[in-house]
Order: sequence, then structure tokens, then C-alpha cells
Amino acid sequence: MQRPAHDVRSLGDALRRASGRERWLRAPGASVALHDLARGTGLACRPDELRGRTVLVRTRDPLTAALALIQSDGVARRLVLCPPDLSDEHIPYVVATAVVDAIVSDDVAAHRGVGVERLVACSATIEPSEVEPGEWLDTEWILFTSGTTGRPKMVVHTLATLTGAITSGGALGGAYVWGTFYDIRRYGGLQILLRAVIGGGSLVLSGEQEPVGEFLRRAAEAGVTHLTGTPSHWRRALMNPAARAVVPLYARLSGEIADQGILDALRAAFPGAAVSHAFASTEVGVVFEVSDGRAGFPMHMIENGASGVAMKIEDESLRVRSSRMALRYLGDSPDALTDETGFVDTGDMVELRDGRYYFVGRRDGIINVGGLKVHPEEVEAVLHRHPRVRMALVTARKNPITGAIVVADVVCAGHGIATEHLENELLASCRQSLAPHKVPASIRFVSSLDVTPAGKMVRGDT
Amino acid sequence: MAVDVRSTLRAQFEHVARNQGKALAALADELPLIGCGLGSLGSAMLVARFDDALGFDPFSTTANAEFPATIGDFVRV
Repeated sequence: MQRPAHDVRSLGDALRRASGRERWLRAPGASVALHDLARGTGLACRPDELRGRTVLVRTRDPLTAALALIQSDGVARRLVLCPPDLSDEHIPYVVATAVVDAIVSDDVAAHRGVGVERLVACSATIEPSEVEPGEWLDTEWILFTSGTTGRPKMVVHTLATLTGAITSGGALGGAYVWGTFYDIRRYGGLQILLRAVIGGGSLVLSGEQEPVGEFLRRAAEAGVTHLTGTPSHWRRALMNPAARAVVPLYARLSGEIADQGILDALRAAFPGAAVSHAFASTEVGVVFEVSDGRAGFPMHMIENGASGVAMKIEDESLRVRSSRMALRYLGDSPDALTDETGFVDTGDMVELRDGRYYFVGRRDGIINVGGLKVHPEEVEAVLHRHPRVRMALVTARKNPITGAIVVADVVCAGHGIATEHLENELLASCRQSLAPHKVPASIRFVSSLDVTPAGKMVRGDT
Repeated sequence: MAVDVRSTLRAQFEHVARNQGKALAALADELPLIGCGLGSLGSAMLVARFDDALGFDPFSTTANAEFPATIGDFVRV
């Protein structure tokens, strides 16, 4: 297993080694100094009580989850990190599958009766603790994949796989203030927590129900230098006047296709910032980052890869083998994570144009219009190029003639000024760039579009 | 009502024809949908726009809805 550029043994180890510079984690209504956390605890238990245990971390507040993770990594045998939308009904399955024998939560009462005796309260109030940690264990990290239906799916990571992309170039050693629209209880947000804790920075966490304008206001006030989210997060942010107060050095997108429209919009909004988009998922980890300001990625990246990563295209989808991917799925008879050659099929389809691969959509999201394929994302990418379009969602509508037809919902800049003229402009640009069956039959102008808790566009089942 | 429907229908026909760069046949009630000059993709788009403009899908309004074959069928549903 390739070791990351850093050599920390655990998150607690990283905190103890850090310089004396003032660093903190800040959430709505609460802030914790990392210096205090290095010599204190927010856990209401003896320091050795979680040693060697399988600890389920399930909190209402993302900050208490962050504290629980920092304090349990290297101590627990296994950490199970619950995303905020994991419902109560799945807890018995998770407890049984991961063999949980302790729960850390800021709502202990809610976890009585799930059959786990050891319930440990966690809060953002840090009490001093003089106890030195013992030897660090190699803690397994159990994360939930982003699938939304049925029983939750869990994958096994380690601190090494999770932090393999955190290299000495750039992300380490700076007095950076990270901010993320992601919840740190999912892979994308956890990456940013780890970068802040291991890299020597601070972090502004977004609250689960926090309005985007309020988060941006806090980010600006905290002097955020590195801000990350999905393209949908960013599109929403750029619609908010509070975005003007944020002056990042680095703006990063991942989790959805970063099309040219959003990359150009970020460049225009933050002229001083490096804008980059990354390809990552809970299963395969961080695969690569593209910093040339263009959508897609150069063809040569497939051959050359990145350190510790091999990529190939098969049946039009990107396949990845990487030292940063999860070790396996967790469960009694889990699906195989990889094929027999060790590659994971990401299900993300690409198209080669002029020496560059462009992501066109998910294999399971294809719309069939009279036998011809349409990826909704490729139509959205064209709509997003129009200067008045802030967000676009393309979906399938049932149709008696072609089975399905493509329609679009669009959020425009300004209110109440959507006109037939704009619809005609958008349709003209679609006709210019797309095959006829990919052009939306109709465009509805809407005031907002829904985004999932993970920051992705809500797409229908069609 | 039929007059409103007919004018809405005409507007949508013209929109689709214009956007598809197609010449449109004169809209007579007995004109078959497939022969109206829009082709099957254009006709499919027309159905979707008709749904948007009138707020209902002409094919799901009755249990035994038959596929409207002509312009007149469209106006009647």
C-alpha cells in the first residue's frame, strides 16, 4: 500500500505535532480550538474506554462528529461514520454488520434501545485531559456510499487510503482556512476535514440546514482561503449576493460533472482563485484533479495516471484502480468492489473529443428517446453555457411517440424576466451543439431546483 | 374552448416547426400527425409542448385513450 506524503499515525497524532499557530474548527454557533483538542477531550468517557472498539459516530451536529473522529482515530479498532440522513431504521443493520460495540453521539438518548451498551456523549465543550494516548492503532474507517435507496452500503477505508491524495504540494503546511459546502460526514467533506487537520489548517463547517448565504457570510468572516463543493453547491452559491464577500485562493469542485459553464462562472466570480475540479467517489477515493480551467481531462492522464492510480476506459466508462480506493464493501455477502483485475467501474461515461475526455453522464442516467441515447448532463452543460442560466436540470418525460423525450427546468439570473425569447435562444444553442433528439422539447423557467443532502442535483427515477 | 385549443395548438406547431427548421403543412383537422411535416421527433416534441401549454397530457386523459392520429383528434381530446 502506497503511503501518503505525510507520516502521521492518526488524527490525534497530527494535532499533537502541529505548530503553535492558532487553528480551529468552526460550525454555526460553536467553535473549537484545535490546540485545546490536542490536550483535551469532548468525549464524556475515560480516554481508554474506546480503545480497540468499533465505534459508531452518529451526531446531529457535524462539529461534534468531527471531534469524535479526531479523538477516536488511532484509538478505536473501527470507526463507522454515519451521514446525517441515515435513518433510524437502518441502525440495527449497521450495528450488526459493522459489529459496533460503542456509539458516540451528541444525542445519546436517541440511541438507547439499539442494543449497544456503551453510549458515549460527545460535545463541542472541550475539557482538559492530561492523559497521554497509548500506541496508535490502524483504525478502519467505515463510510457509507452515496446510493440512496434500500439498505445502506458501507465501504472500508483506512487513514492511509483516505489521505493518500493529500500530498506535500499545496495542501500541506499552509495556514489555510478551508471551507466546505459538503457535510464532513460524507466522503467529500471528510476529505476537507482531513486536509485541514493533517495539513495544518482550520475549517469552516457548513451546518446541515444552514442557508447558503449564511454559510458564505461565515466563510467570508473567517477568511476562508480554500472553498470546496459540488457544481450544484457552487451554482447555488454564485446566485447568492453573499458570495461576493468571499475571496478564496482556491475553489474546488467535485461530486458532479464540472462543465465549462460553472468553471467559467467561478473564474469570473473569483479572479484571484485557482479553480480546479476533482474526480472522486466514496468507493474509488480521490482519483485526479484538473487545474487547467477546462472541463474534462487530457487524454494523456489515462496513460500516465497519477501517483498510485491506474485508469482505463472500457464500454465508454472510466475504470479506476488506486491505492486510495476503499479496501472492500462491508457485509455478509458483499458485492465485489473491483473486477478480477482490480479495477472499479465508476459508471461515469466519457467521450473523447480533440485529445480530451469529457464526462457525459452516469450509465444509469441515460434517457432513451426513440432508441437514441441522451445523457441529461450533456444537455445541461449546453444550457449552463448561457450567461443567464444559473442552474439547469434535464429530465425525461414519457412520450407516446418516442417513449421518452427530453425536457429542461432552468433557473435564470434575475426574477420574472424569463421570456419566450430566452427559450428560443437556449433551444438555438442546444440545436447548434447537440443532435436533434437531445434538444429539449420544452424549457420551464423555475425559481429553484432541488439539491440532495450530498449536494447533487435531484434527478427523477426516469 | 375548441378555438383556444386550436390557436394554442397552432402556436406550438409553429414553435416546433420553426425550431426544427421544418416547413409546416397547412393545419387541417384531417391532417395526419405523422404527415404534418414534423417527423416523429417533432411530433413527440409537439405532444410535450401541448401538455405544457394546456396543462394536461392528451394521452392520459381517458382510460382508453387512443393515439391521436390527426390534428382534429388532438383538438378533440
